[in-house]
Amino acid sequence: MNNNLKIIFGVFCAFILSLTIFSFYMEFYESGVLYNTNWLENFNLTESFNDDQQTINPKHVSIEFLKRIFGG
Amino acid sequence: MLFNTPEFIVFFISILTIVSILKYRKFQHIFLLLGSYFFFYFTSNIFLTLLIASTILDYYVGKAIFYTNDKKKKKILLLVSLSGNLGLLGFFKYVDFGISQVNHILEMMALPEIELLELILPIGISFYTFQTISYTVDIYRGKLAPSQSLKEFALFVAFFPQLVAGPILRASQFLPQLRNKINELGNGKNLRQIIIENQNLKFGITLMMFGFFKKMFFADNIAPLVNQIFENPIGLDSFSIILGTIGFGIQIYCDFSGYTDIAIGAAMILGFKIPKNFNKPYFATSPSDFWRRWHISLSSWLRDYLYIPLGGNKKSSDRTFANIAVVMLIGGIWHGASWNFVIWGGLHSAYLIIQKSITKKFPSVANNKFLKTKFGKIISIIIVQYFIFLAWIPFRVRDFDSMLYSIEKYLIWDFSIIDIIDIATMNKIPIVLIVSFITLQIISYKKINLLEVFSNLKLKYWSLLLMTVITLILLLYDLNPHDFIYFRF
Repeated sequence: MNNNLKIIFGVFCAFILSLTIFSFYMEFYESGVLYNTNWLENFNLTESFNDDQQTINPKHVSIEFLKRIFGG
Repeated sequence: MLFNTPEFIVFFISILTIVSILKYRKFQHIFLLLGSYFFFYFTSNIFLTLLIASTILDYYVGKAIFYTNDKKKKKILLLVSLSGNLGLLGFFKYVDFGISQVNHILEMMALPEIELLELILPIGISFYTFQTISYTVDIYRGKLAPSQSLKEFALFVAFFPQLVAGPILRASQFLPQLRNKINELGNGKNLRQIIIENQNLKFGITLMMFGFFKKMFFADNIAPLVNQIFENPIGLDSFSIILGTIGFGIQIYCDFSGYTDIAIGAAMILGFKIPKNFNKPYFATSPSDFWRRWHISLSSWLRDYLYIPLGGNKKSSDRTFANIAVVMLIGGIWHGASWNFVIWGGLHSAYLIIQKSITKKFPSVANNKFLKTKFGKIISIIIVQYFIFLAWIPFRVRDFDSMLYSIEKYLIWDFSIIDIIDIATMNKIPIVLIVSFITLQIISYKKINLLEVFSNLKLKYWSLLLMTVITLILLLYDLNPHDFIYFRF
């Protein structure tokens, strides 16, 4: 394969993987599985792609998550 | 169009794709020019006309200067170019500031005030104006032959990666890159084919990734701490003020050098080399060393087109000091029409003058053995950076009383345990980021070129690194992207 294509493929994979990790993170946070033993078992990953939902600010989610883990 | 928005990513991918598809060199260059104009129009709207006007003026004036033998005529043409460029810059940037100063005087004399024009500052005007001035001055000095093509000159002025916040390019650096060399001695006549080479692509993406990381991970997440402290600093203790000052120093460095990294990386992918603008400025061991490392393209521009023509250090000591003061004050006010920037420039000129006086009175200081040891270097870095960071206070804090209060607390220490606990518990993330940034800087200072190490990684590890960086950016991504600080200048 052409070297440029290999690099572009690498960048594409990096994007897709990080977006996947990010989506899981956001959804797991929403469900409570990341920090709560009584997490919602019926959470739906695809809900985050629902247009009707308000966009969640990732930074706020991370801050909330870190607060729940480390306190403060 | 901000670099840190999805629009830019789409725009850049489209540019790369179309440039790769186009086979004819001429079309590639025209497309790059049109793409750059589109980028500017998207960012600045109608102010695109100013950019085009400045381009046309300097292209024809440059040619006229070159082809005339009459020295007087050359001078007049240079004055036309300077007054055109500086006139535009002065009108949009400083007219309202001037009117408000006159209004202060009128107010004291109980006379009616003049209405402000409330002009919007065209983005990038301070950068491309300096770029076009350097072109005509170089031709006037006989150091540069004028560009033979308006398209090429227009691309030099409007090249999108560095258009809105530099680095300030010189024509002698950029124009030869548009042409192929046909022999070892000179420039050829053929336009250069824009080829995306894999080494440039990987290196450029790595550099852009560094830039995005600096801006979106560090600068944007340290900003809330700095804003919180300097919104109303009166009443805060020295720890908060020092932390805010360090935070702002890191924020502005990550913001501006992040922008520069993205610009240099984007240009590199397209096969253009833009000189670096920063070289680890917070490891400078003297004020003059700082200016060799911070905003290099501006400091070298001021040196070549202002300091040296004023006489530089070739005349008396007093004249040298006056030249330094003039250059630094102009460098300060170049950042914006505000007394804050004049104070910032004034402080830096004072540092440089003190350094010059010390090295002149005690020439042995420069060769002092202790200062050349590792410990001596660390001591000089700490002392120099203490004063460099002090100068960031007037740069950041606009209100005069708050600025004086912050400077006082920065210089005369007064700590309060309650304030320290308060500020530390409320800003854990920014503080962790500040510490991480300092650690990364120390690692990179120890001669490990992180950029080279990362861009030479095997593709799978490189992609993994890219994924980690993107994920980290996303995890702390605020939905409202912050402007680059230097876009305002």
